[in-house]
Amino acid sequence: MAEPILEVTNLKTGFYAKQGFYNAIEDVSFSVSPGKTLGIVGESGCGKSVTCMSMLKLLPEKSARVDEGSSVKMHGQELTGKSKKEMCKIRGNEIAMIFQDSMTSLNPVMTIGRQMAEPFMVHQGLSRKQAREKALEMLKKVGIPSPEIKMKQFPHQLSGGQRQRVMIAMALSCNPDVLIADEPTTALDVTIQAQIVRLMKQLQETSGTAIILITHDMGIVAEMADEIMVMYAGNVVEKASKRDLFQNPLHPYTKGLLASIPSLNKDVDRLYTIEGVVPGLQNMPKGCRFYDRCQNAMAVCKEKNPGLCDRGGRKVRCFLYEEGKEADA
Amino acid sequence: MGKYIIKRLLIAAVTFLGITVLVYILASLAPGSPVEMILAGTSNLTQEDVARMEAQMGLDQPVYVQYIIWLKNVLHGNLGVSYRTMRPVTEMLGERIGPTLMLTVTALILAILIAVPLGIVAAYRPYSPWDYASSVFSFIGAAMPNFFAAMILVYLFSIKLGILPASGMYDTGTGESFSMLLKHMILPVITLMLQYVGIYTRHMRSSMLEVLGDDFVRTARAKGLRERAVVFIHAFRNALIPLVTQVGLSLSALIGGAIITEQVFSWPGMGTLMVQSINYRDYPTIMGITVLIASFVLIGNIVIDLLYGVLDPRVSRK
Repeated sequence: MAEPILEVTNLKTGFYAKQGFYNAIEDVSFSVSPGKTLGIVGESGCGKSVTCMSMLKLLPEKSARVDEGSSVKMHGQELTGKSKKEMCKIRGNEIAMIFQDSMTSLNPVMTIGRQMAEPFMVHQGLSRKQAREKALEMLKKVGIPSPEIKMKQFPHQLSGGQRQRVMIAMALSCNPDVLIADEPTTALDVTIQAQIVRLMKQLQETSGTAIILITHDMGIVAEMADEIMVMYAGNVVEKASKRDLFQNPLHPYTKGLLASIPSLNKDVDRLYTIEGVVPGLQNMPKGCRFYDRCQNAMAVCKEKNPGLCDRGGRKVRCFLYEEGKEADA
Repeated sequence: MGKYIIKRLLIAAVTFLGITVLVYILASLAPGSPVEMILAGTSNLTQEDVARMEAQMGLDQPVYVQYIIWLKNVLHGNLGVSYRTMRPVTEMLGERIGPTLMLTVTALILAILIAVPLGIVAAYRPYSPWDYASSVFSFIGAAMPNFFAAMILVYLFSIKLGILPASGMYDTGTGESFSMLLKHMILPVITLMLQYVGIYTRHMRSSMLEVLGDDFVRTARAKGLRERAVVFIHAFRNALIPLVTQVGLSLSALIGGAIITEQVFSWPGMGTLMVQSINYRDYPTIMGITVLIASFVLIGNIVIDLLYGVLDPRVSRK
């Protein structure tokens, strides 16, 4: 595997609330390499988006704090200590981001062309005219019909798929080394989802961009990711290659997630669900965060949150796999 | 776009007709004959004199005939003759509209210029000392009755400090100069402005606060735009849309004049004329003012709608 381009270690972010300070994500570590895709999966509220927003320092300073022990290294350069001004040079240039809802993520009162031209003007210092030409090029690249007309239109005049293409084109305009896609297909029809996934893969092949794909759609990860990181309640609970994870999930939560995918071959009355909900930030259990919902829960799980342990090149956070416990699995 | 404007103008024309009907009916329903008003004080008045006067003024005709005659005159720019001054109403309105607009337009423009930055600062740093200061200031402004603000200002600047005139447009007997006019405008403009500043600041703050939490603002930040560009290019235009509605609502006050403020400062504008005419039951003038205000509001609404289209492309294409 090539040298990782982005390395995140011990990322820890918390939020200030009325009653105090609460950690949203803890001990999150991962890395991505050029041309590879890391899928981050988990239910809503498990810290997927917070992870990525913390990396880019996009969380509001007033209410969120990234812990000092956290490290985010891009090309070996530490990002956590960077000033606002320095971060502006990185955002959209070295690390770009695509968001879930393309309708609300594009400015409703600005033309597509104007919004598309901005990254070129900000990061490459191009004039408005040059930037628009570049933007037009990008629109053609992502396969938008009649791009000249679309440049002059407003977001509401485009279809959902077209808008997400615009988002992708805008994010990729400065050839970022890392692209963070935060649920890029969630708001789209299934057929359009497939198109967008194909487009992202195809663009990744030509540019060698590393992609961090945040999603709760196991189908999309199965199609796109090389490596998968499963998050639960702010912790990484399992990290493995796509093949390993789908063929042999270790963590009970991962097993549950995979079991929740409806199967076409079996006719069942009820779909499988993991009972319960993710614990809130303000009542995080002392022990394992999955304890309440886990089918394999043991006494020790209630007392202590397990560490992330290595198991043949993959990582899992569960007492079932700690030293000497393997037989029970 | 052209079609849209034509449609709006047609609707406005119908509305205008409705307004004239209402105004005329209300005026003719009011008790007391204008003839009595005009001839009051004349001695040896016979019933025949009154009848002759009524016939002369067309008051012996059925109401709908009177209305049609009146409407025809209005459309020709003739609003009739004032019972009080015996001068054409259009001429009187013409004299008053300038001073009123001078006052209200200045107050409105200044209010927007002050409220917009104040609201942005408050929204950008919510719950900061700046925010609290702007909140307190705007609440006071919005809550204080005009006459009270006016009295405080007059007390402070005219009586105690003696640096600003308390009434009128010019000092009597010293000629009319622009600088003197400005000096006379300060207090009434501040009085009028306070209320607008208060309301607009609150609106600007809340809409800016809402927009700053929107997804596209996050996108703009993720693109690497500087904070200034995010706020003033991406958020600003979106936040202005609700303010335009609010300003649109103030338009009727723009022409109707600030009745109370004008009274307090003896400003020779529409508001003062309105009060005088009502006191004297000078129906032609009252009706003239009403029709003028109504048409102004109609035109103002069309302008606001068009402005919406400019600010928000989602509106204009529908």
